[in-house]
Amino acid sequence: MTQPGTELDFTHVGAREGEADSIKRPSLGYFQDARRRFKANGAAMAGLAVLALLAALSLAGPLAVPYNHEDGDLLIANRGPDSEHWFGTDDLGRDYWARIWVGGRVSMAIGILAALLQGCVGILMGSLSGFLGGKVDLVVMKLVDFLMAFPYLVWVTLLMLVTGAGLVPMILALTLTGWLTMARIVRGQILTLKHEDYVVAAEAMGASAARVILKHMIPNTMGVIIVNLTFAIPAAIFSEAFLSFIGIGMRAPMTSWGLLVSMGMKQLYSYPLRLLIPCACISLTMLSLQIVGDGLRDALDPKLRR
Amino acid sequence: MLLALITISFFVIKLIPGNPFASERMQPGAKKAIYAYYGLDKPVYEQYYLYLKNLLRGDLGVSYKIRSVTVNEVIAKSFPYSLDLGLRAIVAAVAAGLGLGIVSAYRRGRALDTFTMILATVGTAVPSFLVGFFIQYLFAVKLRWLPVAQYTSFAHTILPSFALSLGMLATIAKYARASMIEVIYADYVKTADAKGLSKMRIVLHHQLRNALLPIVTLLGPMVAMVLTGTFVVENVFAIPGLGRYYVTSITNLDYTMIMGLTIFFAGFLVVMNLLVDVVYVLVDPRIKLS
Amino acid sequence: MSDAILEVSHFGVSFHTYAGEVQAVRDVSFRVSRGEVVAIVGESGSGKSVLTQSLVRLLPDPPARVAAGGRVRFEGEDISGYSFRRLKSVKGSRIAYVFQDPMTSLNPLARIGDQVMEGVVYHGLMGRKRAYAYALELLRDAGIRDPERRMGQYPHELSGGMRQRVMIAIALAMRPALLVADEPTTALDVTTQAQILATLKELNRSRGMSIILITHDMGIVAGIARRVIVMYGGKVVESGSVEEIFERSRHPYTRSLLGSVPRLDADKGRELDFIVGSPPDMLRPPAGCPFSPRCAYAMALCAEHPPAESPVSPTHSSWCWLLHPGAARILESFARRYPDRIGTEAV
Repeated sequence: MTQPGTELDFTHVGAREGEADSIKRPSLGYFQDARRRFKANGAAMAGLAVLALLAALSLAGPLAVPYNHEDGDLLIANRGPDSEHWFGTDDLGRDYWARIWVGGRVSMAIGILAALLQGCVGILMGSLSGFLGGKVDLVVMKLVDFLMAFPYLVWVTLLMLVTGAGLVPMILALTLTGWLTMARIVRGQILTLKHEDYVVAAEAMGASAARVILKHMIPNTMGVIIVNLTFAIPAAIFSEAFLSFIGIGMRAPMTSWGLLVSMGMKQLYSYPLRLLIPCACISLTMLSLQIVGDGLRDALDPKLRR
Repeated sequence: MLLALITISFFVIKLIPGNPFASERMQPGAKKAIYAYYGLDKPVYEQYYLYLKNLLRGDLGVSYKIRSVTVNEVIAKSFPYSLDLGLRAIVAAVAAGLGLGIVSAYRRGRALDTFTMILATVGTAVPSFLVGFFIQYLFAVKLRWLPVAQYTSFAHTILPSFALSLGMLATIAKYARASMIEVIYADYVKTADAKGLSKMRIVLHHQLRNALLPIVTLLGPMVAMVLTGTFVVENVFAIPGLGRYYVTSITNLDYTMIMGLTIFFAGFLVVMNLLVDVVYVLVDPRIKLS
Repeated sequence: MSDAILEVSHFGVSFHTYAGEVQAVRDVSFRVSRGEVVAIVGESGSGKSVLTQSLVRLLPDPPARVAAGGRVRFEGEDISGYSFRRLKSVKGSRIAYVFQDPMTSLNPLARIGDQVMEGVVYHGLMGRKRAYAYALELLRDAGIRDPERRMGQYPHELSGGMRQRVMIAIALAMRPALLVADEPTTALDVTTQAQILATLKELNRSRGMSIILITHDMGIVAGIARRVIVMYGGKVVESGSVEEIFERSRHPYTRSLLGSVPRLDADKGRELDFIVGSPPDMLRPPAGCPFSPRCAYAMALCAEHPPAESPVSPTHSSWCWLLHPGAARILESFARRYPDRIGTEAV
């Protein structure tokens, strides 16, 4: 392979490992790194774009037309889409564009608020359970197991029967029934982290409790919490749709995507658009959130880091 | 656990403001008679005791709204529809989900695999009743290929079963693919290969069983999924099943019916989960009944 | 030397990953004689397992691809071009494997007996009844005391050592001419290690079966192997008889491996040698000697030019530039500076 002789350089240079170490990739902070990986994920970025569009339409959409979602004009009921009413009008002559996007506000608000509240309760219960252990843990986990044994829609339905229909009761009911998964996840995380070698090692090296929690527990738990929150939003939006659909969610003249679906169903054969538009809105939102959630999970999970 | 649920739902329903007969205008005497007929004149704890006693005999009570019809009768009449629909959906989901998952695990990165992954994402994200509307619109309204609004022939069952099964199908396909990929690289598969066995035997005897075992655990949540799925899918397709009655009774505030059906669903789930546990013990030698 | 059962020449394996092509094994040649025990030694990631498993293509392709141009002659036949179907006649019946981790190498859902019998029954050598009796015998040969009970049990009911014995019984079932034992004792405790090695040694003697023993533990090589092949970074860096490798090694890597073995007779004050740095990044392997980045004796040319084989004796070769005549002066200066560290006696 090499020509023996002249230009071979036999000078001693020794081990060069030091050089090799110096050309490692620059170290990035946890969230910086996660952001870089999320941005590289095309599907997730597309999902985010769709979400942004739907959110923007829900916020600004109703302002773009001179109608509101409540007042209709029976003379122009059941119109098809035209230049005046972009999505047409409903059976009471209300502008469907306005109703859709006001409905979007309601559905998204329910999704986000319910997910956040569920998250708070879940994190609180889960970390209490995980940190304190013992009897508290036992009681909380028994409760979670019991509530989880039956589909949560059954619980929400029962609760909604008591509280009655409406926005606040619905968020309340969703919060009370939706914190289970989060509590379980947080508790599990804390229990594992407690015994994780690097946490034990950090403690052994004299790191303060605050440092252990901030430097080791948070980055390793934040990821799952954020991902779980992302998945809780579509679940809440679906619950809203389901409850409105069976008639115990939102009530007219207020509007929401679920309510629009349930009203649209009755006119599927005559005015299919009334059903298909809110269906498409819910489906797109849930799908985008799912894809974004998947992307976040891949980006935030340090164990999958290459 | 079941008892706890019964107790909770009983008192929750008692907590509901108003009562089912409030809207009906009637003579005070008639009202009294009706209250006595349904046992509503007794104190709550006695009502509870009576309810439990009847429940032990398998009697779920009488409907408040549909006169002289018992909850048991409703269940007997409509449960077969839901069971039929649910079974079709589960069978379809398991067969198609496993098939897609397994094949795409072996053909990773190919077109079919991409299709499976997209289907899995869409299927898990889009709720079954929206799927129901979309396909009902497409196949029944636009194309007029398949009939709906009845549940009498095989053709009628296709759309609702599909709507109900898509979510499960997606979940199963996702899991089957993941666990199959894991198994392809498992050490014991290498051992089998090193014995000089044929591909067929390796796949059938060493890969499939190990890969599919975790799928059995999905059966429990799946039954629950189908159950809540029927609430909406039966409404979308106008199938006279239990789910439809449940929703109707909620809209009508038919409390005994809600209560009876909730208990029936819960009992059904408990039994199904028990069955799944038993199946798991039977197929996995590592788990012993405790 | 007696006739060769396995001759491997210019063999290479690469993995195709998202990050690029990883050359796990590069241009490896070696031979194994009938009835011989050969040890292949190297750190994790040196390519020893990939090498031996790729001989009969046990690694899934993709990602593991056997490079074109390599040759594997087994019992006089070139098996490197065999199809999967044709390889079935070699796998198990002529070359058998015992893998590193007995905890994961047995099918968790099949009974021990079925797994031991599977090979002979599947290949149609005997019916289930005879196979049952035969399996009992195999398990006994592999050192399991109450085989009747074990036959009906599942892997999770057995200890690690026991499972490795089952693996050995499975490997023996088809009376292979060559057994590849891939770190068979790494996952086991020390006493079990010794027993398993004794069993392998006994099987080599009684059955005349050749064994390739893969290990990263120099300590267990001396007791069982006759020849040693040292691998680093996917390449063979030195090969020779046990005595030659242990006492007259001519490669700095082999020497540092030997230095990492604790010795009871060493001075109490002397620290264990360890090798600085970590194994090479196989995505971008060094152009020259793979060990050069970590080699205390590295010379300027080592990083650029791959060293050629330098025969030390008819049975001993080393792939190191220090054996080149041009390195004589450097060696002398080493000898002056570190009289106790490197054997310059042979130069």
